[in-house]
Amino acid sequence: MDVFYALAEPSRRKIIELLANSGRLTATEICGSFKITPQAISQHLKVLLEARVLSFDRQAQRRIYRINPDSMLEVERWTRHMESLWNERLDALDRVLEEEKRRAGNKKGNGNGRQ
Amino acid sequence: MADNKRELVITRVFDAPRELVWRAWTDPKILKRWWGPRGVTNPTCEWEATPGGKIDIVMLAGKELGSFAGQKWPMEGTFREVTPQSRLVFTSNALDDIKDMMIESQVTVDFDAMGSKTKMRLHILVTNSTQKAEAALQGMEMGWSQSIDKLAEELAKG
Repeated sequence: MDVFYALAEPSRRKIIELLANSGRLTATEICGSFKITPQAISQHLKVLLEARVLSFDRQAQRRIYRINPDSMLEVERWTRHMESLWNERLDALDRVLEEEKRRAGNKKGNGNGRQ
Repeated sequence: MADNKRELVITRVFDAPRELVWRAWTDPKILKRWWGPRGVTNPTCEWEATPGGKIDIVMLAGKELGSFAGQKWPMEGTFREVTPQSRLVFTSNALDDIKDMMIESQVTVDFDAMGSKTKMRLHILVTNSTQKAEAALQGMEMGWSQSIDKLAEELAKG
């Protein structure tokens, strides 16, 4: 089963979005966010499992769905997450560098000169 | 983790001389002012930028982070390479409260002088991760996704 085929359908993309935001959900919880029938959801979940986009853990009788950690999607999600984190950190670094530059400028202005 | 390598490259140009950017990355007193996302302080910040030197940072979530306030996110590591004003390589283990390894990565930072500016290239390669890390990443993601989204929009604009 092809990943692109799996992602082509809007409801399936919405399922992935839900799981990307929530982490882990049961089929019932996923159904709660849709107007389509549980049978249709179950069909979509099957396609997503076969494409290895999703995986599930068993808890008693229930399947808890999640994005497959080995899938490219999960890797991309991690990458976006880390990128945002680091960008925020580097924005802060930018501000600190400005402060340090001003500090060095003031020193010169006070006649302390270069080291 | 199969064959999908988790890595990330970020390149930035800072409007500051290389000597200063290097200092901001190697002097713990300056580093602790920018390390960690918004709303987070670094009460513990050991950052010994010499080959074999130790990294021990504890990030503390502040009030701004709502339900995450008071949570601590430690990180440990070791410097592998320190080439003055040119390259830093260190390992980073993000740890949970009871100091179990969660996510292990190697970070390489290259610095290039461009006149009075500095080009910095950051390369992060995940070398190992455990299930716990997945959960922690998800938690962090939920807590920060909003501000991160806003930031991403800002960055896209500029």
